[in-house]
Amino acid sequence: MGTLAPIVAVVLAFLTGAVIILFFIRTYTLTDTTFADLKEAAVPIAVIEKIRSLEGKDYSDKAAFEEDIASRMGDKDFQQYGAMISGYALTRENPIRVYHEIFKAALKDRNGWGHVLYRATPLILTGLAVAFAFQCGLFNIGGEGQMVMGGFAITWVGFTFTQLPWFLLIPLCILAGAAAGGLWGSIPGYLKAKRGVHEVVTTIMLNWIAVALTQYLTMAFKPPESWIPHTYKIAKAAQLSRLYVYLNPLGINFSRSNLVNTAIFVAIAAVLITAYLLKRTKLGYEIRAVGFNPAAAECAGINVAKNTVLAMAISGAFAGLAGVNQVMGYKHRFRYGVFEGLGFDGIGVAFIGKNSPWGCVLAALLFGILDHGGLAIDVSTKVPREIVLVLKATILIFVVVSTELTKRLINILQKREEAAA
Amino acid sequence: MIESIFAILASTIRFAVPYTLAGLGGTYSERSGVVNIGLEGMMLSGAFTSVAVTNITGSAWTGLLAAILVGMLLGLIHAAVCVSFKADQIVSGLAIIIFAAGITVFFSWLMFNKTQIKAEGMLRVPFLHELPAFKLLFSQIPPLVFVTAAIVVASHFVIFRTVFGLRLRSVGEHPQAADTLGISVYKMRYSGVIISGALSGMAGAYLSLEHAHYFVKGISGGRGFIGLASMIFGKWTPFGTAGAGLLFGFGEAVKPYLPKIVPSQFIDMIPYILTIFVLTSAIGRATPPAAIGVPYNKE
Amino acid sequence: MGEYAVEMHHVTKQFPLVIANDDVTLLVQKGEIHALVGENGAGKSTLMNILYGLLHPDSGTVTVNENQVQFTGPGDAIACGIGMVHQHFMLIPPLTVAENVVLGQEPSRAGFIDIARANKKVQALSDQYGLKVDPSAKVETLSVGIEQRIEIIKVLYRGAEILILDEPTAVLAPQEVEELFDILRSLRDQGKTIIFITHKLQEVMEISDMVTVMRRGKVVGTVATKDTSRNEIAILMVGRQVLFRVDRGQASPGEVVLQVDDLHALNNRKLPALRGVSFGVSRGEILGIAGVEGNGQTELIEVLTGLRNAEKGDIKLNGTVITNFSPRRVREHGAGHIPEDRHRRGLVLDYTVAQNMVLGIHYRKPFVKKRLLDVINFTPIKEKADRLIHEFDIRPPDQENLAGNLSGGNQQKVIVAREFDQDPKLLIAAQPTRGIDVGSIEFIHHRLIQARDAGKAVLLVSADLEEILSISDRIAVIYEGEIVGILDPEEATEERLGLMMTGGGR
Repeated sequence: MGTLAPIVAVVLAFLTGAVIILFFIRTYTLTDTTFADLKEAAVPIAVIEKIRSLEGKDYSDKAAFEEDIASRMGDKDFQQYGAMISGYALTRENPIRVYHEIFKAALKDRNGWGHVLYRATPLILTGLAVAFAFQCGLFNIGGEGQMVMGGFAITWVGFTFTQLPWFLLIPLCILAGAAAGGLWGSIPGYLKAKRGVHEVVTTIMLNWIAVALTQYLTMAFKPPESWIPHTYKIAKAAQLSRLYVYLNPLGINFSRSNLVNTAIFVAIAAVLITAYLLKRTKLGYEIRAVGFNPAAAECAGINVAKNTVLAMAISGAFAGLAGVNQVMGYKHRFRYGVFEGLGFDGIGVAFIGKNSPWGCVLAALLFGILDHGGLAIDVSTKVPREIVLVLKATILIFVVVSTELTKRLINILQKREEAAA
Repeated sequence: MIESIFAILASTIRFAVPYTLAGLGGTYSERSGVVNIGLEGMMLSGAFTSVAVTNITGSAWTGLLAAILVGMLLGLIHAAVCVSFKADQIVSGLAIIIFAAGITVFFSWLMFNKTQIKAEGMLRVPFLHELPAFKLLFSQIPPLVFVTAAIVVASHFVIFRTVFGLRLRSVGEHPQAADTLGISVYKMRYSGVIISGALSGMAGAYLSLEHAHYFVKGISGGRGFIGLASMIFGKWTPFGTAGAGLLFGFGEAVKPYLPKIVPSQFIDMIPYILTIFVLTSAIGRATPPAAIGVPYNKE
Repeated sequence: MGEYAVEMHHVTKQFPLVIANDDVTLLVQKGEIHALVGENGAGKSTLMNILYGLLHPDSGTVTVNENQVQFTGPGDAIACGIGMVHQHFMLIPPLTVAENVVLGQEPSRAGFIDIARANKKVQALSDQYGLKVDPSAKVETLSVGIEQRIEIIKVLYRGAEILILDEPTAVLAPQEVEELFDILRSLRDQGKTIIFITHKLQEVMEISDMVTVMRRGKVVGTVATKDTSRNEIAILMVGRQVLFRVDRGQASPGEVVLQVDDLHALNNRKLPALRGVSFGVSRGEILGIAGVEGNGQTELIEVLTGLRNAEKGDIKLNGTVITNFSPRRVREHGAGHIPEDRHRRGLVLDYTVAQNMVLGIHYRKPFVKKRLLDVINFTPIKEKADRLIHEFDIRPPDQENLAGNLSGGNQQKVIVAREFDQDPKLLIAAQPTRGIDVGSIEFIHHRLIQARDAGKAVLLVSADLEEILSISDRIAVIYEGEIVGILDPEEATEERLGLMMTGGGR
């Protein structure tokens, strides 16, 4: 039942998206078929010929279409036949084709997969951040802030300790990212543990403080000659290679421009670490006990405050690691634009993945598919890529509503059983 | 020098409006017990709707009305999810933000083929705008500012002096007690959330119609969150929220006049730092309505 | 005589595990103060909830002012002039007194609350019945005694002629109790009918006209107060029954294990809950602390186990001072704890039986292996769980079963098994057999006696007098935060205990 809910939510969301696409995406085009239909509908050939010159032209705006037709056939004819012509010329976008395009772009070949994995990598980490905190009963929506703090730390270490060799610098950068994110995450944890302040508000506020802070730091460390708001480049020793470097020689071919890089292993490692921590260590046992029942945990001698702070710190550390992909694996500099929104998407990923580590992976992949596929449909269909945001949001709403929805469905089914009995 | 002071003052007031309206909306919602972080999304939707409708109908007032209605619609969705479906209020608010980000650009492309739309219309007050004195006034301080001020004052009375306000507050502090006295917790919470949508939508309309005269993708730019900060810093009261809005607006207004050593980003941080401070301080701590964030189950 | 304001005839109400009201008949005359008396679980609250429309009786009739009624909810009861003042107040702290009183029936003009009229009405009621309150004060600034008056004004404002008060003095200080009684007398003199639920007998004698005593769901007696005495009521309440006495054999107590001296502590409302508690528990004995719930037992246990701070006083365990130690340290010094609320404090219901078996000692070897992080060692846990499930006959015998799936009795056995297996020097058992089946009760009682015989000190805290009597070697009674007496088994008769538990011991 638990795994059913996200799937149902995704399906419902796609249905909603389909309705939106069907209803709102309208194009007016005069094609051969349109002319044939008009002839059959007894529109005089003379009139049809007047608009023949517009054949093949796509109009997304009904008013512009009608204007052009009217100007070519005169007001009298337009009044008589205009509506009919518009009716026949109207084409709608087929949602199934749109969805097909999205998935095709993402999954049809290795390169597509590569792009999906690249996009999923930071989302796995920011999703883990939310999911891990949730195990302790905490709602960490500060992923965005923890992520940029970690990201900046990674960058700073990367362009400061340039003399170190790669096998020292890379781990150091990763450590810095985790530490900075962890520190930023421990702040709301501490405030909750010691002052009882709800972490939801504090994490939201700290998000924007972090964004502002890192934007300031970006400008402080900006190369003087550059117009773009980004920092110095990190040392080559800190830069992660794209996967094609390793895989192409093995015959697994990725294009050179495919962004998927070794950071994905950090993400996978994080998932494995999370699963291990939660199920097999004392720390995980205590954190989950606090999450399930803080009163019982306290009675059993577990230090609720300490575990709260630790859970938030680990959570923040995960978010901080997102920069490994964005900075070390892609931009090689710090720039907020490269990070924007990934923290918030992480919340969606965690919820859709039911706050479990592997669920996060699946949900992150889904988001990755949608993000990458969205770019494709922008070009190959009339649907703007922002439909992906609409889809994401609708999936989220349906997932969130699913528990009560399922409860009510079960209630209705039970009542029917009782009535029948 | 005097001119600078006036300019800063007028600027402060202009910047304060979206913060105040959004924060006020948040106040209604949270006072009834429902967390609404989706203000940002409602504001963005209002911004787009106001420009789109203004450009299509030629009337800015219609655009404003449409923005308010769209805000209320989003509020209705949030209320349904949080109150009737008793689902997580934070995630719902987040979903609204993402939804608004998507749908505004979506329709922006569909209807206008671009993501940057000039507002072709302004809110003109029928008779007053003809008079030169008012024309000058409105050019510095747009009409919606006065509407906002009126709403702030009215809200104070509504929340603290009317039957509706009393019941709204009771439902946010102790829904069970209110329920035993025959008050419909669900109805009051729906009201609070829908009002928050209306006000956020208005904030967005102001942003696009009177402040920037433009709709641009993402124009709300985090102002919904500053609205949240205003609400918290203002301790969930209309006057407090307005005061906080003015304070944060002042920060915005004064940025260009600051000496080079004070980075503008630090000014940006102030609303959030102040909010954390006021939430954690030992003295005069801001406490939200007691029953906030917890769905009400009528046993 | 006068007519009856309330008549409840042959009312029966059954819940899944218990018959709360068993053919109960209650008659209350107009203009009298009627006390409804009984121990916890006697059925008093259930009966009043039926009268107030919060519950529906399975059978029986309710008649109010000579009209038979069937309430669908409190609204109907209120319309009939019945008002209830609950034990847990339904007041909204940030609002004023007047706002709280008029909420839902606000005097208004064009949507605006007519605060002046509201204040006046509240003031008028206040003056009429001697309920001194300031209408414009915020409730959060007021004492509990005044909060109660507000609740009374609330029901009067809605036209209550019949008032039900549920344990009204439970949260009051002595002077506040006197003030309340003056108010009640004033209300009665002006024609109101009052039913109040209590277990404090001196109050019954002081204020009531009639008393109805309930025990285990049945009415065991209705008398006019002037015709009876505290002793008589105590006997009715507690009952002279053939108690199931466990053959507990003789105890041979040794040196003192737990020594408590002059313990003071506050409750969650920052009011004194423990006012100088002193007692000792020796090796090889079971000390039972009897008392009606709400007299400080919860706070006492929390202080002893490190979950609450003591304001004053000392706790010594085997000579070591452990006052205000953390729960883990208390446990490490040899104390075991069976909490009174097994769902809230005792178990993590979402964890398996095995996981719950090591709760509290999960950090110790051999359950963890010391690596970079403490890693769980599953084999010893599995072995322990298997052993304990077998030894304590926990059903179903599946250690991977979630604790939430077990019956109450088996859940309690998990907790008992866990605590016993740690071989504590002191075992604190709070309400250990509440809400569980008879078989499990027997089992747990046997185990407690076994523990005593093995040389442990056992502190038993229970609201079930029968339990206390059947297994304790010495019996202390707690009343309003003080130990009002410690009795040897021979002196501990039901009457004597009943009296002490209801305030007659001083």
